[in-house]
Amino acid sequence: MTAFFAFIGMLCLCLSMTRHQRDVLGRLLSTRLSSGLRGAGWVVLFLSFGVALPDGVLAILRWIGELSFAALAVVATCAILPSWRRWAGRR
Amino acid sequence: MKDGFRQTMALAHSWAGLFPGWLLYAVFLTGSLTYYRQEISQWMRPELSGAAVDPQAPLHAVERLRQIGADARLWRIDLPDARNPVTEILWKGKEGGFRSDLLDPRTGEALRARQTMGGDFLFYFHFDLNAPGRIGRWLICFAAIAMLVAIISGIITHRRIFADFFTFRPRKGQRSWLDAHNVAGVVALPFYLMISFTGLVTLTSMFMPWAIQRAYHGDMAAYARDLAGRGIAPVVLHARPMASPPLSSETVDHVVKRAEGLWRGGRAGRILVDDPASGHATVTVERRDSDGISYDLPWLRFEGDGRLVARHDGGGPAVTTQGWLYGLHLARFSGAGLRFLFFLSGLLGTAMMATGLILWVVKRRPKDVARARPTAAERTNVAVIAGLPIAIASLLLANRLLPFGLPGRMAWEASAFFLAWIAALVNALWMTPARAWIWQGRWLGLLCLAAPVPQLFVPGSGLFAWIGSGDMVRASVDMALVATGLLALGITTLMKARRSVARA
Repeated sequence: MTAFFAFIGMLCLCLSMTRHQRDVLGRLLSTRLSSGLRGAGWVVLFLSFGVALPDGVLAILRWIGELSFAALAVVATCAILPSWRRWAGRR
Repeated sequence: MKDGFRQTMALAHSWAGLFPGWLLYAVFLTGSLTYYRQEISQWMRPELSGAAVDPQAPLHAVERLRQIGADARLWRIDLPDARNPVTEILWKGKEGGFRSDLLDPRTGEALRARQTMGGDFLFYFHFDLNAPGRIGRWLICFAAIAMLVAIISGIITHRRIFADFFTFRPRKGQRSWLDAHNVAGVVALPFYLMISFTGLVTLTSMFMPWAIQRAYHGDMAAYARDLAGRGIAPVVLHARPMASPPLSSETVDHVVKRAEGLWRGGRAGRILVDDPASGHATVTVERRDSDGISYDLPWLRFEGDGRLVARHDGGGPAVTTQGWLYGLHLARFSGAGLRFLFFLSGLLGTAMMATGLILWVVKRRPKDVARARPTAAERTNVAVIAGLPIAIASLLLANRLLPFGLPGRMAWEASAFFLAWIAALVNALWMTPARAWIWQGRWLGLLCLAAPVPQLFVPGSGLFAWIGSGDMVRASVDMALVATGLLALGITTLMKARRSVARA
């Protein structure tokens, strides 16, 4: 659950950056949408922390680890998506 | 001025990273595997498949010790748990030497397993490189300090941590290695800071001994006793009587149950019996290290007649802090999910080291590729980054291939590890690095795929039998080996294909 939230939050943060919009989506989002995504990303990340918090120290340790791998998963997604898009576009 | 500072930090990063980097790669890889020390130990003792935790384990263990270690000065019983479902007994004879045995928790019968260090080999390598004397530990101390230097100088050198947080540009040569190093370094930064700092804490008594020497007048044993909680004026509940009835296994069983009751469901992990033969036996029950984060384990001490005489529930603030930091490093508290995250974070740290070392070489390559000659650093990279996994896979394969009753079997397993590593080094010195990468990648893949095979020929054992009987621990190690083997072969094939494309 926390891992899923962490991934969504990280994905929002990633897509709020112009470089990744260009590489992943192939177009730039409006400034309003970008800052909206950034805000949403932080909110979801805090939410994921909020889900972990009541379960104590171990859950928080786990949350930190999940945050790392959520970010790594987003990096992998963003690295794979453009080539996948090219491949889909060629067909 | 600011740029000058950053350049100094970049210089510190690249040199604090190089020589200690090879060492830290080994420390990270063996350390990550040590999170699965018990599981690897189980895999390396396939004869013990089928052992199970039993509430009667303390009773059987004491009965056994009364037969074989009746005149011992000390008994130690490590109780079985889900990750290591065998009872380990150790006793110290009158003449001084320690002897140990593995017991079936359900019957107390001695189990016959091959002589092996199991996962302990990697555990010891992680902090003393299995080197003679204290050389290994000193090298690790030095590497751990360099790690902290490299992390901090790395953060300062990396000017765009947030802007580049998600950036990875594949197939761009040096750029890609830098991105990979940055991503691996940044996403798990909290883990690296925690693990290198807590790692240093475990070694404090070595590289900062002065405070301890002053406070204890050089008596390191007294310091160790205090840290273990045995000297912190335990709450003495009763005066010690002159003589007690002889110790019975029922008494030990009873005090274990009482201890677990006093800990409100906490489980006992270890039982220590002092002077079991005399009428003055004391039984100390230590709480299991998976019960809490801190490594400052609570314990209860009983007289031979079952009366509680002392207890330890946690030391002063310094000991508590040390216990927490030590405990965080060992992560024995973690369940399956958290353990896997620690393991993955460790592997990511290993990848950070590897990409950093490769980047160091790629960055210094001359522009004119045709005139580039392989450097010593490049060859060392192959021998360490590919050589160590080869050594570990050889250790595991040797565990399967060496005959059961071979004298000095444990030492032979260790030799297999070091000989394989030396072979990888020789190979890296003799071939061009580009070819050596591919050779060693293939060797690694084949060794990993070969390691599960010998056990398949043992009836009722091996991967498929373990899946069938629900022994998922051993089956998982086998599957991890197969996955690693396929991954190594896959990457090697990809590397080779790309190299031939580049040449054409």
